[in-house]
Amino acid sequence: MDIASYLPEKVITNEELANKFENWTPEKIFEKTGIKLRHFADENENVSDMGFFAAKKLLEKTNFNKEKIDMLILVTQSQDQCLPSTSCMIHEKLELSSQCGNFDINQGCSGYIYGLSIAKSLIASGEFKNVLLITGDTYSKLINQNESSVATLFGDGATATLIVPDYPGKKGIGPSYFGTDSSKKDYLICNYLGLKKPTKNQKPLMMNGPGILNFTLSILPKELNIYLKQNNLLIEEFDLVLFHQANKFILKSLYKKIGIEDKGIISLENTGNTVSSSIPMVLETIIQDNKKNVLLAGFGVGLSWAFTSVVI
Amino acid sequence: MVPEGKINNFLENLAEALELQAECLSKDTKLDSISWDSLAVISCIALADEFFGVMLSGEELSKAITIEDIINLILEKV
Repeated sequence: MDIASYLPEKVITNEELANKFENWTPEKIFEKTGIKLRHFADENENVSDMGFFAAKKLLEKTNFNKEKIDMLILVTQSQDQCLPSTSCMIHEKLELSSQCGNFDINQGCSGYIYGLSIAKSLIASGEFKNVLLITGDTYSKLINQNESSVATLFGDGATATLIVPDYPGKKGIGPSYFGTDSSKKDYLICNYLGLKKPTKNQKPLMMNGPGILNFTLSILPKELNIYLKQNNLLIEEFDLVLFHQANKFILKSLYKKIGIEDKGIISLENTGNTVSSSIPMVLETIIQDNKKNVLLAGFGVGLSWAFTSVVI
Repeated sequence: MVPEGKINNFLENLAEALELQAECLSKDTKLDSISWDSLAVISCIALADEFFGVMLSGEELSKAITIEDIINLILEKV
């Protein structure tokens, strides 16, 4: 397993946001969100471009023969168009083999773990060998930039992860566990690009912050225990814990509640919440260290939760 | 029965989260007289969970007028 990421050039600072939103100072934004800046894709920059750049970087870094990739998976909620899938666009840009399949997964903050779990299963089936898993989102295009609760949090970005069966050093993906409370589906919702009528009522991304915090603090610790128990794992076995980088406030509360403040990672200062890319972006920075066992958790849109672990 | 000290401790932490001096926050404090915004609501939910193990919803909190209303909400759930 190896990872590379891409961030768009355009940067939005806390100073710019504080000028726009009364009652906010750059310091307060950083203190509450843990974010100093977020990257926004240009008007003409789409997920297929960002995903392509991340994958290109990864292929250069690993020197991996792209002809050998036999499945391309893209996790996104901001696709270039209705059809064909955005993964198909990336397949073309990367000039992947005609014998490489591709599909999109419409998942957000839990999406990377969905991707890892599916890639692992495809390889374990024996029918596929080398999977390229890309995550990418341009939430900046779904957001009302005058809405402080979302404009301060989200940033655009993409990552690419190469998953192969016999990687030197025996890095690997552990068991996964997923869940959904669809009764809370409206807590994070955006109906752009949808066909449901009347389409003129389509609205930008709406987030019920208190509802999501409530959900996260009550569900995540409970479900984490189930995941650990089901797989005969102990939290102590993990060197690091990396949850979806939603914002500093929610992560601090969550890590404290679970009692893992010492190994829980908070790292979104220069990216903001990049949705399904938030976990791999941080994994990329720790992958070079000595062999580590990292517990991963995603939570958010759905509302969903997902757990897995990786030895990197 | 929730000890008064625990409630005071909760209020001190809430004041800190709202960037207020502890003495600026009492049971009589009206929420519209302090910087009670979406961030304050979120801080209050997290602190109520941490100190009392109860979950307050955004809807419940939106009906609160004073700090005492919030404490009563918590006490109902403990």
